[in-house]
Amino acid sequence: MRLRATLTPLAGLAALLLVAAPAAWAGPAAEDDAAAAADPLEPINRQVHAFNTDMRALFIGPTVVVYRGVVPGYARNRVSDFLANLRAPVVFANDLLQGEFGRAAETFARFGINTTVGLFGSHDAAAEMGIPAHDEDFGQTLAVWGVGSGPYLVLPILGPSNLRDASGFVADAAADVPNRWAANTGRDGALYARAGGVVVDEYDRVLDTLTDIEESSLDPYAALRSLYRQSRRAAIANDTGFEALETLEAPDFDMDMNMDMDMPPPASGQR
Amino acid sequence: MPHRRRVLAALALLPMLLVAPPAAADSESARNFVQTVAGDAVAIAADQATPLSQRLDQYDALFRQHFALPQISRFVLGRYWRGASEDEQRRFIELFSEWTVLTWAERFEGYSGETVETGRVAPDGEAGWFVESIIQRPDEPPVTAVWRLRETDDGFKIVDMIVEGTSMAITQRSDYASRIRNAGGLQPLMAEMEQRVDRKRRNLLG
Repeated sequence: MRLRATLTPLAGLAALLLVAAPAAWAGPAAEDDAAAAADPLEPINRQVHAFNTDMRALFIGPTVVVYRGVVPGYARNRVSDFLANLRAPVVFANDLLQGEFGRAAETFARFGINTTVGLFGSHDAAAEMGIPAHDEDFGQTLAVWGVGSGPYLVLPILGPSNLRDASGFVADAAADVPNRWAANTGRDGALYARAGGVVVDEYDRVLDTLTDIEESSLDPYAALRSLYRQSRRAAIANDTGFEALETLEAPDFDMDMNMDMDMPPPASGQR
Repeated sequence: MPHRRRVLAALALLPMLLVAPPAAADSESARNFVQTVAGDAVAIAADQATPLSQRLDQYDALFRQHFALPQISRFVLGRYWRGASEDEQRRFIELFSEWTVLTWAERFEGYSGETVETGRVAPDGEAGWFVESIIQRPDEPPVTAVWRLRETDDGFKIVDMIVEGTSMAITQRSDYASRIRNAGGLQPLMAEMEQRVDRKRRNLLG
């Protein structure tokens, strides 16, 4: 009950923020890279980013390492599939809200197959039958409805987001069927177990990528911000697959540039 | 002497190979290119008998040959490229190249038991190709990345890597632009890059 009691006013607050958002936030959902510089809350966001980096180094990273050490890869994939299947009702609702009836039918079929043949969702049997998973959330639905992203936000633990997607996250959590069932039947333990499971499972899948980003970029905060914006744009347009590559905007690499620049003296770096 | 005739015919074709412009490449040669580059990098990583310092030179030659590093450097620097002098541009290309080589060397060195396969191939307009590569990891879900290739007189060049709709080049441009703003210009950025290149090399060589 407690979690739900917290979530409901949060959802109300989010809705209020969206309605009251200044016109500047309600631009078109697509952002170009020039807009990447627009990050009015950057000072606060950087502090939360630093907090998340510390949390990852001190608690979440070690937890994931233990999780990987104790639970074999096969079992971890079963956990992933189980948690993903719990999200199916939310994905289904957002498919419908976006008018994507074909994808809604897929989600419906996947939930039926995975909950039964897939042993309560622990196996993604539907994907093996040729109905691959896709994700939707209320942030994407709002974007399809024309709501702009609002300012970029870094959320504690949850990481990169923006006002629209964070509001969507709260709305999804409030509408979530398994959550509501657990809350209505006083099973708060199940709520917290699931939330904890989602955090560990998500970090299990992204930890190596996050470490790589930290190693390979000069400003990991800016790299993550760019990655988030690009991946959300692709997710909103349902453009994450290989087939969508041809619609991807081609950066201008200017292959005709003066090739005298091609081979700078290699001496300086070789020692 | 059919054998001798075949050798002669092959020799007669040799000058043509040397002067003829590259034939219009097909999807199969784009796929082979990615398979070869990835295979060569995996082979360098697997050759643990050779000291890492020498293998770093091998990675260096491989990646400088096959990545369009000057072009990527220019793209990554974005609007700051125009404001830079030619010397600064050269220095940036060199630092960015060293950084890229070390970063990729570190990734391949970190692999163990992974295999790289190529998947689907699609034309990228008239300019080049998209080639999918799939890294199969024991006990982990596979990682799929798409390489964006350009066709040049000097063969294929890798210009970008795309993972789930995110472009590495665009991400790096945001990364570098932000660092330039916060570090106070291109010169401080390059000083920092030089330090990080040195540090990464030392860390790798242990």
